[in-house]
Amino acid sequence: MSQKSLNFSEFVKIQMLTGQKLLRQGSHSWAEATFDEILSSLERQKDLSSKSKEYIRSLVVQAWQARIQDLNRDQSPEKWLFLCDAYHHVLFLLFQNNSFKEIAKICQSLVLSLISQKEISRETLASILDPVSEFLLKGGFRREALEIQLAMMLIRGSAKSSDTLNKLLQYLASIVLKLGLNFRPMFFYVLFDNAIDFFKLEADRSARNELVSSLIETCRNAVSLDIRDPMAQTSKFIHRFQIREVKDDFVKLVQKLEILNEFDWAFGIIRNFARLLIENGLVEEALTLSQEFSEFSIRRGFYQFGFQGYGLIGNALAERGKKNELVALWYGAARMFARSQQADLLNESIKKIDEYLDPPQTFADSQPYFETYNEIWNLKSRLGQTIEVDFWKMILFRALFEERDIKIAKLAWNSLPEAFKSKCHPTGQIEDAIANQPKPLVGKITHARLVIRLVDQQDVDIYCTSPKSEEYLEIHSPEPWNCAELEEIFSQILARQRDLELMVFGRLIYLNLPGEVRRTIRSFKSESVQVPPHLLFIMDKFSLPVGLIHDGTSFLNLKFAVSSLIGPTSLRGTSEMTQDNPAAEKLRLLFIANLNAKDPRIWDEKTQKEEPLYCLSETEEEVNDLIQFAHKYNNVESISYLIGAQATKDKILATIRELQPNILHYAGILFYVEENPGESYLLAPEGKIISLEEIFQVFEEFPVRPLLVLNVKLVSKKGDFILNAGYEAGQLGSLQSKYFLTGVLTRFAPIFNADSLALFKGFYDCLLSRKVPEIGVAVLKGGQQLVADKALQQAITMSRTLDDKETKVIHFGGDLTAASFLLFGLPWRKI
Amino acid sequence: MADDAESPTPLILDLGSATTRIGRAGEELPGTVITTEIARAGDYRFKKKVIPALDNLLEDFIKDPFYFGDAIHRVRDLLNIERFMVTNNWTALERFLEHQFNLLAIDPQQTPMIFILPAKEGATLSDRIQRLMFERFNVPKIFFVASVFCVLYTLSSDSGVVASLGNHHTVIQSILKGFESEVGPLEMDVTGERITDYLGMMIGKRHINVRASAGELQEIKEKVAIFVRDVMDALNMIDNGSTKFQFDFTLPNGESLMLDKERFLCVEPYFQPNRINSSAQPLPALIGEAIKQFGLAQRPELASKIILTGGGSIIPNIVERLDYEMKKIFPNMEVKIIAPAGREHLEWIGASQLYSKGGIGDKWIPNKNWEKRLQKAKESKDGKEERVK
Repeated sequence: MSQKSLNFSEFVKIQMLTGQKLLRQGSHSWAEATFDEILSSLERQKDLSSKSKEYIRSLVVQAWQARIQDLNRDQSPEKWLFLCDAYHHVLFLLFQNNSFKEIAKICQSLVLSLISQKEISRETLASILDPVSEFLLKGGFRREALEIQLAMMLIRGSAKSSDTLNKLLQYLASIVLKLGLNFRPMFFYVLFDNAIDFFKLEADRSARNELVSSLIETCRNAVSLDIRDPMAQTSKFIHRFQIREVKDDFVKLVQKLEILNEFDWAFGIIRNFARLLIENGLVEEALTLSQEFSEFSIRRGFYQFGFQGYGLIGNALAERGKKNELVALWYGAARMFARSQQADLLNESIKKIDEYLDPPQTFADSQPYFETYNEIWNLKSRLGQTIEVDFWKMILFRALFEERDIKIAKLAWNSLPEAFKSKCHPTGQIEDAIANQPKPLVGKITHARLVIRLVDQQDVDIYCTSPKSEEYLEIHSPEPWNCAELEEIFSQILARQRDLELMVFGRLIYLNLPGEVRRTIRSFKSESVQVPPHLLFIMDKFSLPVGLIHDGTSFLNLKFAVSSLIGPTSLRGTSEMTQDNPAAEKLRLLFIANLNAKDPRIWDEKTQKEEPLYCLSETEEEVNDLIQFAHKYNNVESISYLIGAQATKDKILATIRELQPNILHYAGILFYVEENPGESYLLAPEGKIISLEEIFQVFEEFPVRPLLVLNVKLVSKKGDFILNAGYEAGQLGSLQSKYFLTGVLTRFAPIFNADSLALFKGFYDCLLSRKVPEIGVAVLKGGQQLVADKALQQAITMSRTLDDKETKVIHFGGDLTAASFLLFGLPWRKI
Repeated sequence: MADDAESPTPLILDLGSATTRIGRAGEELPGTVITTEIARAGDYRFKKKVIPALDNLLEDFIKDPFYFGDAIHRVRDLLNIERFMVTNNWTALERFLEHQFNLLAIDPQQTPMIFILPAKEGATLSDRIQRLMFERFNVPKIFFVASVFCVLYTLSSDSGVVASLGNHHTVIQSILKGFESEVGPLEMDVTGERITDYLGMMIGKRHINVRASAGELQEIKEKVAIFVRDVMDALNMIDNGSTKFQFDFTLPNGESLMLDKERFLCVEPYFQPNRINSSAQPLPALIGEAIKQFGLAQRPELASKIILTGGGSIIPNIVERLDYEMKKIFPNMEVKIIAPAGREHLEWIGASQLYSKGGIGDKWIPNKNWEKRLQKAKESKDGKEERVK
């Protein structure tokens, strides 16, 4: 996914640069063709989120707008020829995106820039605005459409009848007639005064009132008889009204409109009224009124007006330079919008926070600053709106102030954009300041089992339990889990092989976990020394190797018997699942390996003969070794194996049926079927397909379902090897709950080497010697044994090169072989 | 020697479908060579106008809304370009001539005009032009001359076969001792325009994302097109890895274009019309037919004077290729292809020489109402001045 989107983003970058260059050269058609290529291929991008698509579209619009700005500075005779064409392009792009308000904004500024020029006829200007009003009406912005119509009346000096105007005036009448008689002049006054805002005049109150009066005169003749009189009364109202006297009436009018669900108009009045109040020095009242309006409209589901209300307060605060209050205001707004699932408005609010929150200048400043971004991360995570900068700011906060992990904090700092860093204090200060910080306190939770449920964009639930006691602990994290950003980074590491240590990666996943989860994992201690703690992740989808999570002391898969369950399992359900099942006395094993040693074949031009396409002779060696190894154990009832070309489909199914193995171990090629992972299949030597479902059907005849061990290379239906098969492994793993298997042991990066074999030996040793019946613990012990052996080897090699004066620290980071093993199912399940 | 030493030197106009040549008679080459195109402000290539009223601003801001010649190059990417001699847009022709007269500081009321008529549709064109020149510009007198005679005149000959490979017409005409054959000129529907389209199609096949306009494609064609003697040989060479025909260039959007076999295949329809689904006979066969319009005894004279003119005749190697093909048709006759330098202006040069050597004589068409109109124009001008005073 990331590879494709990477290529696409590069393509967009190049095309955008070319397009901008062509625009500067005046080649509008070529630029259009270049941008069209971006836009048409954008439609074909299935992986891209609608947010990214929107962003790319806005880039194209911006390029044209930049061209318009350039042309405005130009003085050549053909300037207007190019300018009109550029305007046509911009407006068409906006029209396609239904950005009617943007169209209105652009046309407004064009008209305002031309209005003072004598050679332009007033009719031309009005005719530019005519379609704008029509679009606004079409887009449902009736108040704005009416305001534009009124502005056109002022430009023309008369009312020109049109369909749009008639519709809007009818609509106006319908609103006015809902209001009481004494409210009507007030309503008209505000309407006309707002319409004058179109011209962005800096006139005083009396000049504005004059304009309002002349507009009333023009408009009066166009409206229907029933509202003509109240409109006429507005002129009188203007001359005698005092804001302090009519203040309460205004508030009542707003409330009335709110109750009538006419939030649009209520907002229009609030906007005007707040301005009047501020003009008269009643700032506090203006702010309270706007705040009440915003909250009320959000509660009633008119989020856009709520946002606009916040905007009013924001402007008033910004004029007074109150930055802290502004941040608090917009943070409050962001929380409201996150709760009401308004992604766009959330982003807009966060943009405002970005605008007003100054980058930290001292170490003391940085804690509240990054804490705010940690909160923003949580808000954005709920709606899946996070971006990379947010991610690194969040990591910086958690690493620095919650975990005191300087290494990761540095990494996060380095990953932040330069433009941001240049505005902050130098990094050195952070390092100095952090050096003396105490480590976070570790609590104590003693249970045997820890269940953590991670669902993307939702709160995290934790459940600590013991198999034999009734006591349990349930912890709810108010912070959500966010997987999307990590997935991106994860695929970058494996696809692009970015230089990121395994441990750092594990730390990043860990830091991405909500604070409550991190505290629990850190504090979790097993009740007994003999039993390693069990850790079960319940996830909505699997794409991250949870075993690789590094809690600062060790990888989880070396510390816990980790396993995962994929699907909508609830935490409450796990209380039943924690019940233990009895372990079998003797085990039956079936090994299947390298089915495709001879077929299918492909012609090799170099050797001039047909070569097998999917021969994995390493798997054969692995299985042979394991068989010999397993023979030593008394607790093994039988060992069977089917290797290479001899194992036909019928033979495999018959053997499974006859043997009823407790463990079915398959090493080789597995063809992964994306649409239904259950239909993923092995290709028998004679060319027949054995789907996993067929095997599972045979399992259904058994009294005890087996453990399925898949050490497989995944191949897509087209025959390509699937790299970074985290997601696919998760899909295969989730089959265990669908077909009630004891578990599925698989891996996301298939490795057939000595390490891998050692790990399997450790795993089988635990199970076959019956020292450990739990599968999760067996995997853990296998991993621990492998890592311990490697550490020992490393130490021996080191000791040989060590002389007396030097001391060397053995640094053992982790092992991908161990981490690549994933157990799906319950770690405490016995076999 | 000019016809009339006292009257102003006439202006010779050769209105081709793609290029117009204008210049004073008697000069060696036309003073002005300009594309026969017009563009109008507001006639944008981009048609999806959300607010059409924006174009009204152009009327207020742009004084002269028509673009010709060099000015067209500046707006080629923005506006639709019209070849008005192809679309028979007479209003555009009027604007065009007005613009050119202003530019060359020529008073049409005092300047006789010589127009070169194409072999095809000459009669209708001359009617329209005469009316336009007399009624609109009040030109004192006018003279029409057929292009084929101009061409022969440059060779001081009265016999020959003229193959004019124009942008809009490809015409072959044989003249013997100053007389046309009874059959008249032969036409071929493989024209410069169709060759350009064919090249565009071939480029499109290779590079899906290329969206060049007709004008840009013509420029590409003029740069790359070339004739080869044997197409199959050339194709084999390319298949065997030869880079002889490779031509690289970069389009305005940064995309690079590499052409090889397209270079000669695009002009091949002159010799293999079926490549562009034309049922016309190949060019050599048509020339042969034009020669055969006259008797056996006269044919050697015609075959030794095959004259190439028009934009298509500038494509490199055309003489060699045509010579090779003609010899297949007339193996026992001496064939001579004449392609003089500056052959794209051959008609104009011929007309200029015709005037210099007094070839027009008293064949001018006089404007009967010239003096009356001149008087009227003067009066109305004086009236205006007085009113202003």
